[in-house]
This record gives sequence, structure tokens and C-alpha cells, in this order.
Amino acid sequence: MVKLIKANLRKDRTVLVIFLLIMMLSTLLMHTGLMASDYKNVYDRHAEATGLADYILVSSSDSDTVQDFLSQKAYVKESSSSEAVLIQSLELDSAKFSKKRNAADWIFQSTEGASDFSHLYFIERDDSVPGNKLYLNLYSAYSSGLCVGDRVAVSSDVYQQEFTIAGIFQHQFLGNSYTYLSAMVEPEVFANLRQVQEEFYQQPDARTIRTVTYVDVGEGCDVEECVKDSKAGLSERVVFCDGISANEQREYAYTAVVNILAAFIGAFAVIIMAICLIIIVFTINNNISRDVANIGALKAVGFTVGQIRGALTGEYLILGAAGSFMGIVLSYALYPALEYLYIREITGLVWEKRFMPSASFGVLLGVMAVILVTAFLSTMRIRKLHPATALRFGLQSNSFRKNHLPLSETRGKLDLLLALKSALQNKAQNLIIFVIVLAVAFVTMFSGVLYYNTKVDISHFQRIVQGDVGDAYFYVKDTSAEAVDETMEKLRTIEGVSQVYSMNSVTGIIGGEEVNFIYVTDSDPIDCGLFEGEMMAEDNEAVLGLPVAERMGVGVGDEVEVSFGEKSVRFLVTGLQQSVMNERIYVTQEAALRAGVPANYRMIRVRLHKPDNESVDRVLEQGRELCGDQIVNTENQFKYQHSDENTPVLAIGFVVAFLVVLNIATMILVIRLLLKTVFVKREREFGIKKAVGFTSSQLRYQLALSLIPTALIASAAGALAGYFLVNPLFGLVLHGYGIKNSDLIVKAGLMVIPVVAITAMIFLLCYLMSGRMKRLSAYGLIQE
Amino acid sequence: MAEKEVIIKTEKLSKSFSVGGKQQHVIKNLDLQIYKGDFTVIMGSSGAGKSTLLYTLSGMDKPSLGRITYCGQDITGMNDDKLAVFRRKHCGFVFQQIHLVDSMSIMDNVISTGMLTGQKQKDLKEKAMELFRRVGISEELTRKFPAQISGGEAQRCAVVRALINDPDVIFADEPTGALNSAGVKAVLDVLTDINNAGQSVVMVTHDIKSARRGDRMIYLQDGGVMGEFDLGKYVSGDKQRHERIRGSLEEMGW
Repeated sequence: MVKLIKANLRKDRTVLVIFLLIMMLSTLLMHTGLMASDYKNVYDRHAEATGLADYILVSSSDSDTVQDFLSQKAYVKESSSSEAVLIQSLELDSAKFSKKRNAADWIFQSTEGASDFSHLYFIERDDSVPGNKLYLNLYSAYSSGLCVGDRVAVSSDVYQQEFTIAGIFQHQFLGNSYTYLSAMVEPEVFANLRQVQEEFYQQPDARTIRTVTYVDVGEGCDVEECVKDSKAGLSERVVFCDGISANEQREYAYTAVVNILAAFIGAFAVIIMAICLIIIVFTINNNISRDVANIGALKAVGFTVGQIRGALTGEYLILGAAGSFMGIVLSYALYPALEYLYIREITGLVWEKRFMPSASFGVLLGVMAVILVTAFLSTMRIRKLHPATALRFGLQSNSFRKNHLPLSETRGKLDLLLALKSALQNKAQNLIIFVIVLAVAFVTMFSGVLYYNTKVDISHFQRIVQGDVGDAYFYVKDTSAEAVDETMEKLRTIEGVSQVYSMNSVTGIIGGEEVNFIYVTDSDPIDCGLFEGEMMAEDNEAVLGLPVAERMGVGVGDEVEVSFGEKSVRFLVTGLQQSVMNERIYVTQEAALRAGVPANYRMIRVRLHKPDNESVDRVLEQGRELCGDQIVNTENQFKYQHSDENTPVLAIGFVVAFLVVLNIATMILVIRLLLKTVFVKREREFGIKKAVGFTSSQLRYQLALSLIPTALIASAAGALAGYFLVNPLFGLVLHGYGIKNSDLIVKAGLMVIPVVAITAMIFLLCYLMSGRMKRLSAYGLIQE
Repeated sequence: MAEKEVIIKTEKLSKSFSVGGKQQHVIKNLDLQIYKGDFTVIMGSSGAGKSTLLYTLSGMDKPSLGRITYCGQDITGMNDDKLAVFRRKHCGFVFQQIHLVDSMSIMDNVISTGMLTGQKQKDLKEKAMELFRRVGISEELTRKFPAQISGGEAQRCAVVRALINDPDVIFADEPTGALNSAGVKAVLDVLTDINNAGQSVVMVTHDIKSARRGDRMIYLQDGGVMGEFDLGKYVSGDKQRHERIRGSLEEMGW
């Protein structure tokens, strides 16, 4: 049987190579997706290696107050506090940048005072750099393209300083764009920062961060309960306190986006694998038809059905194993670059090269199992093949074909008629081509929609991933509701401004779990992903986030109770909203006041009628002039959303672009393989036609044209399926992350692209690839 | 006797194939003439180069060396497409394996060939039916696919396909090789009939019964012409013709 397998492999070299490549692409994607989904383990491994605490507390009080509080808690096994300074809206600038990077909130700690400095995992470090040394978290460094030795300037409304990057570290609490960003400086610089903080926040209990505390809990304690208790208890003593567990950071901040990416990659891998299996069915059936006399001969000399089927199956099993192995090896080879360039920025974690036996062997064995079943089932028709019949007559069908478009009765050009006849004649082949082109068109449409939503108009995708977003942000000095209202009135007078609003959030409790209690100045402009019901209007109404609603088992028309310490307030749910990884409730300002939450707003959001980078900059400039000292900082959020700093959108955009390229490559390979099989099957027919006087060009044109009807219908069907299914599919992928109904922009006009592109590509590839006909004489084609 | 018109002429025709890295010379320096109206039979032992010569003469394959002229036109340097155009206008083929396109009906096999030379479909149908009647194929049979008819019937349909464009020459490569005796007689009768009507035929065969139908024989051996002789016109019932031909062949070592 081994000789049979070898003979089969020798015969089908081109098919072998193409199938190998497609299998390799599929397993490359599959394995890469699995590697990208491993970041929970990456986080945990780093946590164990660095002795990461169970949770972190940041507060406006001093270390003694926090330690005093924690010392009374039985669940605290160990804790350490260090001084910190929060600088809000800090901008980074470097000679490397063409423009300043967008502002972010940074927590500075002293290299001598920080309890965690010695435990940090440094990717790069050089303590001998000149000037003021800055040790930076890797997210900030990598998203800005910085490395050790680079000179940077940090500035905000109250602080400016130049630094030299002396180290880049991974921080598993304060090292991701979803939380504060950690930076470490030398004691002298830290002291200066502390002074700036005290000058800027003149009240000692101002809402800022002065202490960072790491807490380990005792064996058997529920970390989340401990975090809640610590936050609630400390909040009674200090103006501001926040905390998060390592588990929650891992789930929400460090792995959510990369898991979404992994899901996308995995979905594409499954589709390409499905195409591979269809190809197996197609080529095995063709091979049986082509080699029926040989199969008859083998049976005649004594080979059993099992042996012959085994040989055919073995051929694809070997190819599948080889292709999978190559794909897995390629995945290991490419992943470090992918990780370094994109994924590290998203996660804020360093993935260390290592072998992943469960993923690698799982993919290999899983693929081989699927191929084994598919290939073996495809060979079933050999069972009923009698040797004598096979040798004499080949495979016979009792139902003779209908003569479609008889030339004696159908008027038309010869080449067109023959192409259509061929298209109508080969139903089995057409079905296979239909299914494959359908899948390719669907993936193309899906990729196209994602590309449109991550590159052309990112508004809907942005809202899904990050919730409400404005075009221009104004950070205010006086955060009281009255002052903010006055400022908003002024900003509304600027030409081009369409909406001005503000929102803020505090932590509330619903059903024992923390939620973001978000209050807004005006509910109309809020674009929070409302998918059911309507926005809140009264002071007893609320819009609830989907995860909270599902957890509480409530919907529109039901009530929920929100607690703030001792006080509880009930709200009528008027609508449900969705965005990734959120536990939110939206209420009006009046509702917040009713709940006893003082209304303060740090930042005002502005939307423009027709935003672009320049018009937003103009509005920001005019806003600063109008509002004077009240405006302490501004941000062109529109520019940021459309820049390479918008990491989630950028990363998904890159993945989509990568998948589009992979899709095109797969399509070319699949079409090549289909054409090869079609050509081999019809080679004798082409030889006969050449002999009687058809030119090579005519035959190539007929062949290419014969595929067009099926390609056109299948690509249209695939594009249509993509049009209707892309949002439900996207919603399915993101359902675990709090999204029920995806509302990506799906333009009907996008359907034209896969239909035209795929049909044209099939025609062109077929015409080009059948150029072999020119090189073979008619005699040669008949003899082959 | 009036001099016959030469339709095909070869000058130092050679054809080689590369087999396992070695050159195999199948036809060597062959000078040959085919005359209009002749039923030329090419015979020889197995491996003599008969089929190779046939396909090279007809432009189905290109010679390695030498020249082929066709009614004075040199076809040696023609490219693939030009040869295809040449074949559709001047040549008709009848193959041993018949080689009708399986996926087309008998009628479509013929009409598609006829449409290549620009003939109108309506005229083609009438012409094809006339040819089918001539070779004894019913209209009902023309609607069937090649796999649904007997070998002899299929080969006669192949002759119709070969005739549809009024070729100068019909090339037949062992046309009776895959047929039973009834089919052999039927096909040979058709070829004889069309030759009697003025059609030039060049037929390769290894069978004396088939060779008897020819009026000129070329005997090949080791890629070269061993001998040529005039057989005279075929007359049905000439019992001594077979023996005369056998005698001539045995003289040449057949």
C-alpha cells in the first residue's frame, strides 16, 4: 500500500503542492489564533514569576492611612504601599515623532520608593543613560516606538520635563491603555512631581492619586470580595479610592481585545479548512474517475478495496500532516514578529517564545482526524467498482446527460455556446466550484466589511469596542456642574459644533457586583450602543449595559437597584446598551443627584457636523480662546481615533488586512487547484478539439468562460450571505464580551466588490493558467 | 497517364522524441509525396513511425527537422494556432480511439467542427445530415452521446466530423483498430466510398485487410521509407489483391 501511496503522490505533484499550501495557510491561521488566545496563561505565568499581588489599590490618601486600614482586615496576608503621583493628560513628545502623542493619565512612582520596582519584568534597561531617567511601561513605549536611550519630553498643563528612557518594563496592573499607565523616575524627579501635584491640587483631599498599594490575600479568600471590601471601606476614609484585582485586569484589560482577534483568526481558519475538505472530496472523486482503469487493474490483480481506499486516503493524510506541520512551524516562526509589532501593544504583555504542545499537537491531530474521515468517506464509490467493468468501460452512469443547448438548434457564437454547454454539463464540478467560491466570497465580504469599519468609517466599530466617543475633548479646571454647564454653552456657539455634552462615572453596586454608574449632562448626544428601548430621560430612568441586564435577568421595563454605600436607589430600565467588556448603567445628571452622587465633570465632549483633523483642531483652538483658564487641556480625539495610536482598531485593521491577503492567496491557490483538476479531466477533450482545428486561444477562452456562470452566481450568493450574516456573525464572536447585536456599517455597494473581483480573477487565472495548452501539441494532448 | 497533383510533400523530414534523456529518432530524413485523390496506405512493423508520420504530415505534431509543404504552402514554421487554423480548413481526422468529445452529442461534435470554418449553423445541419445518411447513421443516432452508440457507429460519425469542412485530406490512424469485424467493414466501406468520390485519404494501418482498400502503399521501417508501390484501385471481390499485397510486403520483410 505504501507503493500505491507513493505512486499517487508522484502523479499529482501540482495538486500536491497547492493542497499543501492551502493546508499550511489554514493551520498557520489556526495555530496563530490559538497562540493569540493564550494570553491569560501568559499573564498568569508572568504574575507567578514576578510574585504579582492579588490586587492593587490607588487612593488619594497617604500610605499610612491605607496601611492602617488594611492592617485591620483579616483577609490581608501582605500589603505594601508606596507614594505615587497622578499626572493627568500627559503628552509625550520625542524627536522620533512627527507629532505629539495623545495624552494619557500616568502614575509616577519613585525608583527608590516603589515597592514593586525590584519585581518588575524589564524588557530593556540601561541605568547608565544620561539625563533624567525615565522607566516606562511597555505599552506606552511600544505604542510610541520608543526604546532605551531615546530622549523624550513629557508635558501637561502643569508639568514639563525632559527624560531619557532608561528602561521599559511590563506592568500587569498599570501597563495597559484601559487603566492608568505606570512610569518610574528617580527620587529627585519624583519629589519635584510631588511638589507639582501639591501645588496643583491645593486641597489635601483632592481627587487624585497619592498612594499605590499592592495587596495579597490569605489562602481561600475570595479576591474579588476583598477588593470590593477594601474599596468600599477605604472610600469612607478618603476622597478617592479605586482598586482592581489581577484576575479582573487579566480578563478585561490585558486579554479582551487579543481574544477577539484570536476569535477572528480562528473563524477564518475554519473557513479555509472547510475549503480544504471540499478540495479533498473534489480531487479524490476526480482522481477516481481519471484512474478508474488503474483501480480496476489493481482490483483485478488482488488489491482489496480497503487497500485501495487506504492508499487514496493515505495520500491526503500525508499531505495534511505535512501541510499542518509546515503551518505550525511557520506560525512559530512568524508569531514573534506579529507579537512584537502588534500584539504586545494591545496586551501590554511580553509573550516569550515557547513550545505549546497542547495547541500544536491538538491542531495537528485534529486536522489529520478531519482529513482522515473526509478522505475515507470520499472513496466510498470504489467499493462498488467491479474490476472488469472498470477496465472495459470505466465508471458508468445509467442516466445519460441531457444535451444542453444543442448546436443544431441554438444560435450564437461557437465559443460562447461551447462554454455554456460545458458549464451546464459538469454539474458535480459546478457544485464544488460553487461551494468553494461561495465560501471565498463570504470571507471576502466579511473582510471587506471589517476593513471598511476599521479603516474608512470607524464610528460604529469604535462604539462597539470603546463606547461613546467625541471628536474634541476639553479638560476643565472647575469640574462643578454649574461651571461645566457654562463652559458647554460657550462651546456650543463655535461654528461647526453639533453636540456638546459631558459624562462622568462613579462605582455603584448592582446585585452585589460593581458597575460603572455613568451620569450625563444630556442623554440625547450619548452614543452608547443602545440596541433595545430608548435613552433615559427622567431622574428615575436608566439605560443598562447588556452584561448587567443578563446577570440580573432584567430587561426594558424592569427595575434595578443601585447601591452607593448605605444608600440604594431604584431605576426603571428604559433601554439596553452594549459595548465590549462593560458593566454599565447610564443615568441623567438629575438621577445621579437623586442618588446622592455629586455631579462633577472633568472633561467635556464635543462633536462636529463634519469632523476632520483640521476642523477639530480649529474648534479646540477656538474653545481655548473662548473659555480661557477653565480649559486646562484639550485633545483631538478624532485624530487619535484615526491614528495608529488607536491600538484596538489598528490591530484589528492589521489583522483584517492580513486576512484579506490570505484570503486572496487562498483563492488563487484554490482556483489553481480546481483548474488543474478540470484541465487534467478535460485534457483529452482539448486535444481532440485542437486536432479538429480549435486554436489554443479558443479553448482557453471557452474554459475560462465556462466557469463564469457558476463563479458569478456563487460569488453573488456568498456576498449576499456576507451582507446579511456579517453582523450576526460578528455579534456571535463578541457575545462573550458583552455585545448582542453588532451594527457594523454594511453597505450594499460592498457586495459588488467580491462578485466582480472573484469572477474576474477566476476568468483571468483560468485563462493564464491554461496557457499550458499552447505548449502542448494536439497529438500530445490526446496521448496524455 | 496524367501526372497526379501533389498535395503534401516532405523534404528530409525527421522527428525525434526525448525519452529518459536520450533522443529517440522515430522518422529519419524522409522524402515523401502524397497525391490528390489517392487512398494512400502507410504500413510498417510496430514502432516503424507510422502514426508519428501521420500526425506530423497533418500538422498535429511538429517535425524536428525538415520541411512539409501543403499544396505549395510550407507549414513547418507555423505556430500552434496557425496549425489549428490550417487543420480545420484542410484536414480531417479519424482516430483509432475514435476521440469524439464525450460531453457533446454526435451532432454537436460535427456541427462544432463545422462552425470553426464559419459555416452557418442552419447549412451545417443539412450538410451533416446528408453526410450521416451517406455513412448510414440515422438522425435519431445523431442526438445520442458517443458512449451510447457502438464503436463502428461512432467511428462512422467520426468520419462525418472529418468530412464536414470539406478537407483536402482525411488522415486516418488505424481507424478500424478498436472495432469488431462488422464495424471494420462498415468504416472501410465509408472510406472507400469517399475516396471513390475524389476525397484524398491517408491511412495508417498494420492490417492487410484494411490496406487492401488503398491504391498506393508506403512501407516504413526504422523511420524511413522501405518501399512504395501502386496497388491499383480497389475493386470489391478481387481475391488476388490480398495475396499480391501480402507478397509485396513479405518482400520488404513484413
